Amino acid sequence: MDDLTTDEPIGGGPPPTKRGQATERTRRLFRQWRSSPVGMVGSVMVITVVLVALLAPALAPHDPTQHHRDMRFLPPGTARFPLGTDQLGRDLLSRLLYGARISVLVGVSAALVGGSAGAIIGLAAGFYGGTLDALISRAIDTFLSIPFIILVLAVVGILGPSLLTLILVLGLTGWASYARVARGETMSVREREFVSAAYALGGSGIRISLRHILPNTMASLIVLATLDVAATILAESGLSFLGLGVQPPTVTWGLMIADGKDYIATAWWLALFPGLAISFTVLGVIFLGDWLRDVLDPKLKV
Amino acid sequence: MTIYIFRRLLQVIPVLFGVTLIVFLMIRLKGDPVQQLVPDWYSEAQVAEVRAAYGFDRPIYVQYFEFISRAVRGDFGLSFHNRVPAWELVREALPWTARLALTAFAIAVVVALPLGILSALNRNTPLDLVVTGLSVWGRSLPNFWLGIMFILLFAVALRWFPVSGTGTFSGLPLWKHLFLPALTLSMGLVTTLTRLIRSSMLEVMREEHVTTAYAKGLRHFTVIGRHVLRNALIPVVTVLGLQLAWLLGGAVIIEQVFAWPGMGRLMLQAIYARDNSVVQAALLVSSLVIVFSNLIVDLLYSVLDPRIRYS
Repeated sequence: MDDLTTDEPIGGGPPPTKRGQATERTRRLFRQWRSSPVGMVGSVMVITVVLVALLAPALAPHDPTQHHRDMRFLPPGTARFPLGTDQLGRDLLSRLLYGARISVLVGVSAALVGGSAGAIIGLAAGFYGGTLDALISRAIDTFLSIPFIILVLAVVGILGPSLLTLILVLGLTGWASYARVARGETMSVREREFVSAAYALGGSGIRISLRHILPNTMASLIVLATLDVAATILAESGLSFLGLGVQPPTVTWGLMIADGKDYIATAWWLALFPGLAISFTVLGVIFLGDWLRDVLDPKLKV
Repeated sequence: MTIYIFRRLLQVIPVLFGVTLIVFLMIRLKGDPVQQLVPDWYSEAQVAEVRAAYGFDRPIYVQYFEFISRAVRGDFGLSFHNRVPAWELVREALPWTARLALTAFAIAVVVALPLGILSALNRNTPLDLVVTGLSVWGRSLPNFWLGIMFILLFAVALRWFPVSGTGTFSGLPLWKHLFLPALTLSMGLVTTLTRLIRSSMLEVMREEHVTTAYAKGLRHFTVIGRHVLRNALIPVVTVLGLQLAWLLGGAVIIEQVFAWPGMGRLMLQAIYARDNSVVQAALLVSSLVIVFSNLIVDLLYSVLDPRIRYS
């Protein structure tokens, strides 16, 4: 019956110690954060990118879409255009700063969409078992055996590219890996004593699965989602590069690389910097994800 | 063993059903596929005529079974764009992607195997730190960008390799054209494999049978070769199989960067031209390649590691 004291309280009003537990947990997490260079570096990198995305209009020295016709292909290193200009004389630094917005927006929202869909489906499969579980498991197998990026390309190609399509398609095609993890976790949590206790106290199936089982699967799902954000940012940049992502005049790193590819022999900086920006962002997210995995769920292999 | 193989084969059936269903439904995502085929100025009667000609007027399950029975015979319909059977285009493109993927595969194994082993044997030395650091950094690089950087370095600056294509116009031997795209494609696999081989080696080196092997006086080299490497490579085989899906996916963008006439480029051009029968054929064929290579890997795994058969 140990679980009764350590896990979520059963039924009724708020227990007096809940707040104390939460701050203790936060304090422990903070201690672990300070002792882990990977976690610290990763979160600083991620916070930097998020801040840049939020503050892009304030930080950018120029309008990212403004053409400076007499300043085309300016190499990096001038005071007015620190990272140079592109084929239309647009400021590369400003475009880079604005590009962070799409990457962050698409990466985070797609992971949220896919994570919520996958978590609910996996929870249902693991909780109810039987025919539903068999059906969902086959669907998971199916989705995991279709090459992710090819499926995304095909669906985006058919629906036509837009920001919303991109988020929904990148999110929803990624549901299967969340569902697999949520299903597995649910099946093991379902057998634990505090769940039986909740049943004995008369909790309904939906209430028990949402109040008692879902919170216990969250650690694995959060880790998975973090690493999924990294994969999604890479996928989004690939789609934009192919012209199937967010359309101009919106600035994206993938599109900047596509522009730069055409001038690679004469203006190397056009393709170089957006690639480094993607790498910086993804690396930060991966560091954060690896650290979260070590802290929250060491046994998870993703 | 027979039972295991039988059970594993049985699992393929629902997956095949699911994959074909997804490919079938995909072109219907945006509603009526006929409306997308015909020009706006077609009259009701003309639209109905097109609908009947393509069989879109029949119940959806009849259409699905028709789709399957024709797909089994390699009939995906004509390419809407250039009036050739879609299957013909896929069959022409498939060997090009196979060449690219297999070369990338070979490069990855040749590079990652020694790197992973060396960095496990020299754990926490500068060599290990450099290898591990590079393999982590490699995870964060978009492969199409890496391809462009390789073009910049090896084709534009050093002029060792051609920028793109297959040699039809340049007159250079095929391997010169193959090398840069294959190298680009292999990079993701190199980083994954190196990390995996390293951690798998370290795990096996901690096991008791290795201590025993040292205790009975075997030389370091023999222990590593016979007792560590053999066991450490079992999980690597699985991941190699699973990474094939990743290689095919990566090939789509890489082929576009290097103008390589494979499946990925075929599919992209079909997507740009809204050529649905070619998109369907390409997606179905690449999914089937993955389903069956996963099957082969699983069976191979059960041969390599007898424990798996009983779980």
